[in-house]
Formats: sequence, structure tokens, C-alpha cells
Amino acid sequence: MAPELLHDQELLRRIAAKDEDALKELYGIYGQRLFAYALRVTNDEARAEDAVQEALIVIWQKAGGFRSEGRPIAWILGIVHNTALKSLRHRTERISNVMENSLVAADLSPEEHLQVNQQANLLHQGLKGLSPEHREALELIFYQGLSLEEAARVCLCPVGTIKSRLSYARQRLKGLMNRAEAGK
Amino acid sequence: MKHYLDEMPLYVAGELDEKTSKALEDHIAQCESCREELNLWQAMAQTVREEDSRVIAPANAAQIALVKIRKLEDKRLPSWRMPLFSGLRKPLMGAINLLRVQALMVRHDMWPAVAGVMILSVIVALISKQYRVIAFVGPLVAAASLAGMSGPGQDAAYELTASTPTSAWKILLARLSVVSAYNLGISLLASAAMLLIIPADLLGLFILGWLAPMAFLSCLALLLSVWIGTNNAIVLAYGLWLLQYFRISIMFNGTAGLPAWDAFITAYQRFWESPTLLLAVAAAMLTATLFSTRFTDHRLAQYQA
Repeated sequence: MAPELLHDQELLRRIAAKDEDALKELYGIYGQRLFAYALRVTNDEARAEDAVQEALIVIWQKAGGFRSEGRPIAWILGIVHNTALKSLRHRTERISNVMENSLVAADLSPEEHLQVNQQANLLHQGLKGLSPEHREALELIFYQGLSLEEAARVCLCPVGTIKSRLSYARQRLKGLMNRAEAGK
Repeated sequence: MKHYLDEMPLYVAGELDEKTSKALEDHIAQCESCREELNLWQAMAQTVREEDSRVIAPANAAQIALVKIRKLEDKRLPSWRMPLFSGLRKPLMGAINLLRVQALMVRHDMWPAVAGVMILSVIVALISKQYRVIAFVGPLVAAASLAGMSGPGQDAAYELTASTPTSAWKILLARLSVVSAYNLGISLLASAAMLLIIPADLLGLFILGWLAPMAFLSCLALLLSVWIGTNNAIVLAYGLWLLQYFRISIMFNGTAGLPAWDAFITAYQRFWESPTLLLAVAAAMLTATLFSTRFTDHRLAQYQA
């Protein structure tokens, strides 16, 4: 077993034994990744921070229930997934509408056309316009380095759903770029 | 020709196996549309990685989470903050629950019967100005209530009680505690009523005068009830209690009586006036009673037969 994996399991065992230093150490190692993931899901720094704090509390309470069936990081990201979505559910406006509006704005505004004339900028805007589910699929695969199976476990959905979310994200981003090209 | 569209994100993420990766690379070299597709995936992955690598996590999230955790854990210990008490809480709540349930299982007519007899005794004592009536009746009432507390003939839910996972001795101890506390409370109230005919400074001595005999007679009646049944236990306990008053020279006024018998009665009375001895024997009988429950379960089978 990889030393990194063993160390993570040991950290969770210490957290289960209510070792506060272990929780701090875990955050020291994975805090950036957890916050980046929460930010990708929520699109909001304050909500992402709340989601990470809430996730740390859940980790503290449930570390004893971790069974060494997979990588601890996948289990931890699954907790962040839940707390981040929970923070989104407290929004007064429906998420899909917010995302849809921002995408339309990026799509139609002439000022936006000027700003997003480069691919990187387009992708940056396009990623923001995706729904949380599609953003997190890209995030889990490309940044967190999870396999399709691990990403599916984090999102509590079948592997096929992760694949279709990736595919949908690509279609939306490609469509956005094509429209931007046509508008030049 | 296979275009490997589904495999592209996995290839970009480095999650595709070596053989499929090679096949995909060979295909890309020949197919321009797939090359564009792969470029798009790579650009997307690059954008995600660049954006995320610029994210700076809040430095104090773990500390804030720990503060929240401590607050949550404090809330869960509302009045039992000390670890010692939190450890005792569960067994204590279990004991309280057992007492509450067993109080409901005791014969319901026992409660008013005890109170009624003691009220009558108080009335008789006040009218006759004989406070000793309470000291005489109190132990008898207590013995009767304990003797009739459990067993096939007395417990409406005896079969249920006998088949419960709670040990028989725990059930008996719980009932003993509830009924004895009730008897004690009623007798103390009756004694307080005697303040109408006795000076206040005598009250303590008066209470001590019936307390030890009550404990002794209660434990004796309970022990006997477990082995020989409620009715026999009451008759025997009452007999032993009344025996101290069977002094022949007094009963048959003017006769010489039997000096040996009267000497025995004098010694016997002294026994009933020795609180330390009475309490010690009562404690031994209580232990024997609780231990007896291990050997008296066969009575359920007799009852069912």
C-alpha cells in the first residue's frame, strides 16, 4: 500500500480518536484541494469556506466510520460534495436559473464577445456558466485526479452519469466557443 | 473507424490504460476532427488546473471547525459536563427507568391500602393520645406491602416479568426500593402528625424507634414471600412481631405466669429495641432474598402448570 494512503488512513484513525492536531494536519495537506473543489461546486468563496468547515466537522464526527474500501481523499471529497451542495440548497434563487443566465450573458453580450475572444477566457467563462454537477465532474477528474469510479462514489451517482456530465460539459463549452468564433 | 470520443477525457486525465492510450494516439495522428476534440479537452483540463492552482484556501478553516466542534460537543452535555457524570448518566437513567416501570407493575390497590391504614392509625393515635400506635402499625403495614409485592399470585404480569431480559433480582430490588420509599414516606408523615400529641424534640427518637423494626420486618416478609408465598409470609412476620407483646403476667392479670417465658419475652423485646442488630439482620435477609431469585424461578413453571 502506498505510504501516502497509509498516512491518510492513520490521520483518519487519529481523528476518530479525537486528535485535534490530526484534523489540522489533514487540512494542511488537503485544505487547498478541498477548498478548490467546494469553490468549483458553489462558485462562491464564502459558501465554499462554510462548506469546507462543515465538511471538517463531519469528518471529525464520522472518521470512525471510514472503512478502508477506497482512498481516504475520495471519501473526504464525498463529504465536501454533500456540504457544498447543502450550502447551495440554502440559496433563495434556483441554481439552474443563475447558471443559465450567466451563460446566456456570456453568450450574447457584445462586450463579453470582446472579452472572451481568447480560448482560455472563453473556457474560464464557460466553466462558470456550467451547473455545479458538470463543474464538479470536470474538477474531480482533471484536478482532483480521481478515477471515474471514485468520482461516481463522491457524487453518489453511476459511472455513466459522470461520463455523460463530462460529455455535456464539453458540448456546452464547445458550443460557446463556436458561437464566440461566429460572432467575431 | 473508432473515434475514441468517450476515452478522451480519461486520456487527458491520465486515467486511460496504456493499450487504449496508444490506439487513441494512433487515431489522432490520422483524424483531424478528433485532434481538435482532444485539443478542446486538453484546454478544458488545463483551464481547470490553472484556475484551481490559483485558489488559496483559508488558513484558519480547521481552527474555526474545531471551535464549532467544541461548541457542538458542549451542547450535547447540557447538565452532565463532567466526564464522571456523563459516564454515570446511562446507568442512572436505566435505573430510574426500571424504578418507574416497576412502580407501575406493583399491585395498584397496595398504594391506597397502605395510606388508608396509616391514616386510620393516625386518627386512632390522636384520639387515644397513644403515639405508639404508629410504631406498632407502621412495620406491619410495611411487611404486608412488601410480602404482596411480587410472585405469581400478586403480579398480574408475572409471566411477562419472569420472561423479561432484566434479571429477577433487579426487578425485585427496584420494587423493594419503590414500595419501601413509599412506606417510609407515609410513616414519616404519620409520625409528623404525632407532633400534635408529643413534643418536637421527641420526634427524632420516636422515628428511630420504628425505623429499624420496619426495615427488619419488611426484609423478613420479603424473604419469606419469595420462598413460602405471600400469605404465609405475612402470617409468620406478623406472628413474630406480635410475639413480643405476649407476656403472660400482663395478659392474665394477677397471675404469676411463667417466669421463664416472660424472661424470654423480655429478651425478645430487647431484640426489637436494638436498631443496629435489626438493621444488620435486615441487610443479611435482603441479600439472601436477592440471591434467592436465582433459585425460585421454577415457581413460574408451577404457576403455569
